[in-house]
Amino acid sequence: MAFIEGGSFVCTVHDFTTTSITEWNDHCFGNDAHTESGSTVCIRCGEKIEFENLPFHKLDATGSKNISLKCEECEEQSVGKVTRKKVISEESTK
Amino acid sequence: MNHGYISAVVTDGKTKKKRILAKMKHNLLTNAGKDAFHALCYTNTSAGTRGYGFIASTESTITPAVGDTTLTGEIATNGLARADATTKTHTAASNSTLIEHTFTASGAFTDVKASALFNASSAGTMAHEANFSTGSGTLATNDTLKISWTLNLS
Repeated sequence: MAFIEGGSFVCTVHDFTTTSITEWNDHCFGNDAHTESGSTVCIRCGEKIEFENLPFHKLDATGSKNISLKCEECEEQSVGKVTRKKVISEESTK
Repeated sequence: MNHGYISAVVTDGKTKKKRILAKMKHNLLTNAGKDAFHALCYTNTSAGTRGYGFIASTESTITPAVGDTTLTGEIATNGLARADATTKTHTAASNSTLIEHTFTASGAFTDVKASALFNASSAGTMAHEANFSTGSGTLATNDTLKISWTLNLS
């Protein structure tokens, strides 16, 4: 992606500044200092979720971070379904 | 002060085809927004002031100007009315925050052309304003419009 007019992205711990989305993504991705904190809604039930220390999410080609999270309840239900499937699967092989 | 970008994508409800209306396009910080941010950051004496996380859009042709205080022709119906953005995230140790929301049309629209950020579900202060690079063209029921604001405080 080319350099774009607008405010720079500034890292406050690594003396790094850029207006390039690609360079910003590359700098922050996989770096423990640049976690995400904020809020979104559960992708299954729509419940509001507060999050912190989420790994850095890159800005994609459309300027989105596409943060997709499940609330604890939906996550537990998902795990439960997988567990039941595993049990059924195991029993069916006997 | 607070610079940043706006991005917007329309997804056709039937074909799922995507059209990019704006990709990291520079947005405008209004004078009212500057005053509000100074109050928010430095001079307010009460806690809990609401952030600028409400996204509005319009079908009107606008020329963003720092003196603007309202979004001309702000859409108030059919799924595209001002909304509290579902995703708000700040990247630690940086000057950057993302405000993002996906609207689903529940009626027809001719051409959505611009967006703005507010600090209230109605009225309130308009801090940022931007045109899309291209209008959405016709939107039908179940088409979606995803608007992403990236704000860089510097």
